[in-house]
Amino acid sequence: MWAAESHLRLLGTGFTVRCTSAAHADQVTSLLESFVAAPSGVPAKRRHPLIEARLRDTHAQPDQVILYRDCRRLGPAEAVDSALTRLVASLNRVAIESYAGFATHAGVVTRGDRAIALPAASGGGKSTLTTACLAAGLAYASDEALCVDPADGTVIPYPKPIALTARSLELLRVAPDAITVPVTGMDGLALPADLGADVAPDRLQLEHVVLSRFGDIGFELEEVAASEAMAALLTYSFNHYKLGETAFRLAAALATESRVWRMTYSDPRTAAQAIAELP
Amino acid sequence: MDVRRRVGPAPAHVIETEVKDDISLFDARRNQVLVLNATASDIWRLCDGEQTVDEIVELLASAYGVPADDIRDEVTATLERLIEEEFLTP
Repeated sequence: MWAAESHLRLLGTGFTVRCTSAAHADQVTSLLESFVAAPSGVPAKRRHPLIEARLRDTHAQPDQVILYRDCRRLGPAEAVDSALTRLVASLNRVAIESYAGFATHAGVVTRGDRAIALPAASGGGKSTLTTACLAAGLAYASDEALCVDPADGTVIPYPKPIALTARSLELLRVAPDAITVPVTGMDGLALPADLGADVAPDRLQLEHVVLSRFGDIGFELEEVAASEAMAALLTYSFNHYKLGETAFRLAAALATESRVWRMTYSDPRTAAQAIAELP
Repeated sequence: MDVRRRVGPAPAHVIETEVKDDISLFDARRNQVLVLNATASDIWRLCDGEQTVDEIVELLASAYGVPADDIRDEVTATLERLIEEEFLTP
């Protein structure tokens, strides 16, 4: 019944992805290649949730796919591109929920083995700003989460495919067909390679935290107190309440070892250039 | 707030850490964090159970080179919040 089955590991959580079509399995493999190649995080509690991507091969709806997770249908019969976006979102949700280390909402870009974190709330423009940073020459670690190993405070790259809306592509001046999975009813998905960027190959040390606000406002960048990063890392955290004092001490250590900046911007490309030029 | 009362020290379940020049507090009992700015950090450092509210105001006014009356409201408001959020005992 299954044309292809692959086993993935994200942040220490194992997944199985099955497809009824070899062509779709190839698309999944290609899309997730750099994501699953990232160094593993600390072992997670959930070991093997099952994600199935299944082709619905009816004559009435050719080229439509239905996505299942743990035997539960996650969406309607839909075009493969939409299902791929849904698949990545689903993998992401489970991987982050299962992660036993510290994780906070943030884009993460890199220079060498140093990370620049861009914490922001969900929907706060992380993916757009992160993508702009890749176009400005930085390497990619995540558009979703700053993941930290509690044992040593290092940043673990979490390079999921970048979720972008049509509005993001417009702001970034990126052609809609230039990304791996185009925008449909769902977000599109860009790979760093689509933008000519590299993926961080290994663990990183946090160097800068940029607290940004996007809007119809002028560009400003100023260095601020480290305690502002401390507050942001905990405010936007996925799981600090599970880690208690460990999260508190990790956030304090990360804020202390970083330079912290507050930035307002209306053009992500201007903001990204400034981030690329941080001292 | 009674300006003659002594404030602090922090109860045992409150853990403090320095984030560069500022202090952050963790209430291990309630799993809550309070990130203090520079002024609040200075106030916190003086909450040792020895100083009264009035003495804290005077010490900070002297350190900042401003009249005590200029900072009294901010200091007492900060102390009231620390007590209200149980980072200091009432």
